[in-house]
Amino acid sequence: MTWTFYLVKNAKFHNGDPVTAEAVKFSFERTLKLKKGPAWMLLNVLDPEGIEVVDDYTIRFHLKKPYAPFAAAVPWWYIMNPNQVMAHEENGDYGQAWLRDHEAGSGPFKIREWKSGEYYWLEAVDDYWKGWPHPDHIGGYIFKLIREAATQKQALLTGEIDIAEGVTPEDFDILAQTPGIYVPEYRGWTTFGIKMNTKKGYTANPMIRKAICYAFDYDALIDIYGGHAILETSPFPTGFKGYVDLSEWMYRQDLDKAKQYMAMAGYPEGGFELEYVYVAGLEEERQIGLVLQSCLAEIGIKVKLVPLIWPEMVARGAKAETAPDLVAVFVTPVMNDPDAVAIQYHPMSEGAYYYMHHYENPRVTALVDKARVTVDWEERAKMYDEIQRIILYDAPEIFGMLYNRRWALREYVQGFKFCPMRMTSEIDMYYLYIDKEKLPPK
Amino acid sequence: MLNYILRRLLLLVLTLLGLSVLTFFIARVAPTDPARLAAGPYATEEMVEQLRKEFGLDKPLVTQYLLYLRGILRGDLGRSLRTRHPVTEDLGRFFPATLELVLFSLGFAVVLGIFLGTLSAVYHDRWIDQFVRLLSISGLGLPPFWLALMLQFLFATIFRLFPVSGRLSFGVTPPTPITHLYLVDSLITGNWRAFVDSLSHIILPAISLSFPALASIIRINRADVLDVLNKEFITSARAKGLPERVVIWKHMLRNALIPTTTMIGLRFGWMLGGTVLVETVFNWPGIGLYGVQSAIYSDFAPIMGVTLLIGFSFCLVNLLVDLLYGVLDPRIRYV
Amino acid sequence: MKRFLVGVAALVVLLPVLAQAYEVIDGKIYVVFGARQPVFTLDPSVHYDWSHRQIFQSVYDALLKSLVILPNLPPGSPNVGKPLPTL
Repeated sequence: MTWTFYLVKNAKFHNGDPVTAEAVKFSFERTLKLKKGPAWMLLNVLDPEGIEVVDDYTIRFHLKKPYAPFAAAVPWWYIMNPNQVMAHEENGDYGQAWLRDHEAGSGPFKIREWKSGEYYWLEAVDDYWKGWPHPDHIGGYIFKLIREAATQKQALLTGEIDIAEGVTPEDFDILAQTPGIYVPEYRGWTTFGIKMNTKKGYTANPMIRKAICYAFDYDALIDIYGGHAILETSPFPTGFKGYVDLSEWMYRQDLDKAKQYMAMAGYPEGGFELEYVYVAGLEEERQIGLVLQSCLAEIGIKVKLVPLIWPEMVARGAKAETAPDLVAVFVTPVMNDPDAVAIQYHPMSEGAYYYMHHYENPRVTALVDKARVTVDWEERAKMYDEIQRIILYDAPEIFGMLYNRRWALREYVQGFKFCPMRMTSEIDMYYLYIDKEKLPPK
Repeated sequence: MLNYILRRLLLLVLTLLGLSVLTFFIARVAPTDPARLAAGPYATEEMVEQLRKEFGLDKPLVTQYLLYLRGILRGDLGRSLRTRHPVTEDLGRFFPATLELVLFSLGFAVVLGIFLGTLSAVYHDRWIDQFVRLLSISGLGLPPFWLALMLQFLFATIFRLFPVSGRLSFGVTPPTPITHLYLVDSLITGNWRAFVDSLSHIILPAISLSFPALASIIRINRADVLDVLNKEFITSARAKGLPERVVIWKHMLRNALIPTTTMIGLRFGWMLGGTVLVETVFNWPGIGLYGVQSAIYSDFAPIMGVTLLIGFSFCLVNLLVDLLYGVLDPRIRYV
Repeated sequence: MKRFLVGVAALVVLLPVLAQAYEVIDGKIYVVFGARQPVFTLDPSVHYDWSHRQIFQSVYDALLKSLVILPNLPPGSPNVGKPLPTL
């Protein structure tokens, strides 16, 4: 219910102001009042009045109700300098217009040049209050927009960029073999699943959903990613907090079982068509659709592939009446807490893209609600164990795989540190340093 | 003449009004929820509602349209949900890049197209003609997106003659903005480093963008020159003993230029449309890229802004082209 | 004609500004990060997705920082079916 944080005393903002409890209060209050960005994480549990400045370097949060994921939310609530922000307020906008192109932070980098839509040039703060992990830390970095995967690969090869985040799986393989370039590879927590509409149409019947789960060829997923993925072994990402290994009970391809379930559902010969919706232009999702098509043909279900642009897909999925029968979705949990995954199976997520299955099981709903207000981890873990088993049994989706996260870097860029809590392509640039021996002459 | 221009300008306003109605309502036919997208995947209903209100998306469609029109009169094109910037600000930043690319490509296509077209007419059925024909057929047949990728792969990755993407290298300070076209500004201010750098950046996208136009200009010009070649005034010019160079490049060309000029007006519009693909491949920070990104996110205000701006430029260029006829062909009168 | 061709050839040879790896400006080494997704605002209260978060993480500090670190996968390792250790 109550969290107290003691701030270090040497932290200072880029303009020299100290980072105080007052600044922390301001930053949290601002996000809560603007109701944008990360506000959802705490909106229902924290009021601006609940933030107490105890002294200059002590801040206390009084939550409205117990909320176990609180600590997991805090890393995404960044602290800004109230003096700078409020000095640039226009028409009560809380400095929003000014902050579009300016910063008021205390972090390891500051902005040197900002060209929206082209590049963002950041410069290291040499006397960063936390210090630097390596004496040869990068002097800064240029976040350069290169939207096409093919262009990114070429830019890396020609040395126009030093780090590429988004090339195709095959190209990552090629780059890994290229002298002067290395490709770090890590298990990520982004799951791929095919959500099934549990409220409407044929897939509302759990027997049919199970039949589909048993008909699908899971190994094909790994093949499509060239081996750079693992199959899910629970509805929760493998290795995530609260995850339990359910390998034994996972659906794997078994056409006999699939046919049995079809018979139980009353469709021994199948004889209907389902829609598989995926994001237009995502080649991997299209290939997965082809696999699905040939697998379900075995149990007499026709599959129509429907590519949609992302906004249309989200709009269709927002309501059970219009949500597709089958829809390909990647989800990355944004907080290091099982609640971030569990709520994807709770009706409070109605309207969100990861809730396109519109799954509702009273027991799961109650457990999710209870687990997030339970403080004791042992007790919570038990609830998440049960949640995972029930969801798996109910089969609201084809539980697919987790693909590995990869980047391609020039060899002289060292110090790369991976953290699965970062979002898909994000790198913490603070740890990077230059290996001067590997640096090619200019 | 003045009367004619006024009438055309009035027509332009009406065209844009029609265009705005069409775009406004067609863009909203798609059953998307831009506020929800902009609010982020985990946003609560309350947060989405708040954003809807802030961007006026909670009002009835017709009201939204009327408010939009009122905004235009005040020079306000709304605010982008995606970039959160005023659309006028975004367009102001991205349009010069597109204009530079299109003008450069157009100039490139016209100069090279007329030159090659004339050349292949004069030497028709010789090897030059065959070669130029190959060029023009491939120009009409090759998908621009593919061409752009191929050029990028060959000349940027393999031969490393040009940079892969962007408009200017890092460390190169953009020239002092006067026209906001880097090539022009760097020339005016004598900033050679910026000039060479932006020239090397623009060449590949310009070739990709101008290829279809180049091809059709070559073909039209070749046909026209062949046509004019046998006219009496050419024979008489030759009979006067004028050197062949003067006959071809002065007498013949002026007459062949008229159909090509029409082409330019049309091609300008095509090119503005073509920037969508080329800008994506070369990461050229223009309105084509801005427009396509906005469309993907159902971001209405920028879609409107880009459409109106392209429509406006297209109408304006066609008006200019029509006026240019008179200069090229004194027989044409405006009524 | 010949002069024109020579001119074109000369232009093609002279123009290239050879692409350079990393940037050294004022004695500092800047690395270039190629990204598919733009960043529109430096306001951490307003927006978040991976590209925004990368910039926010660089420019701002928070009360806590996520530091779950997983081991790198050895190159060429068969990745199928090996579960991760539970954290």
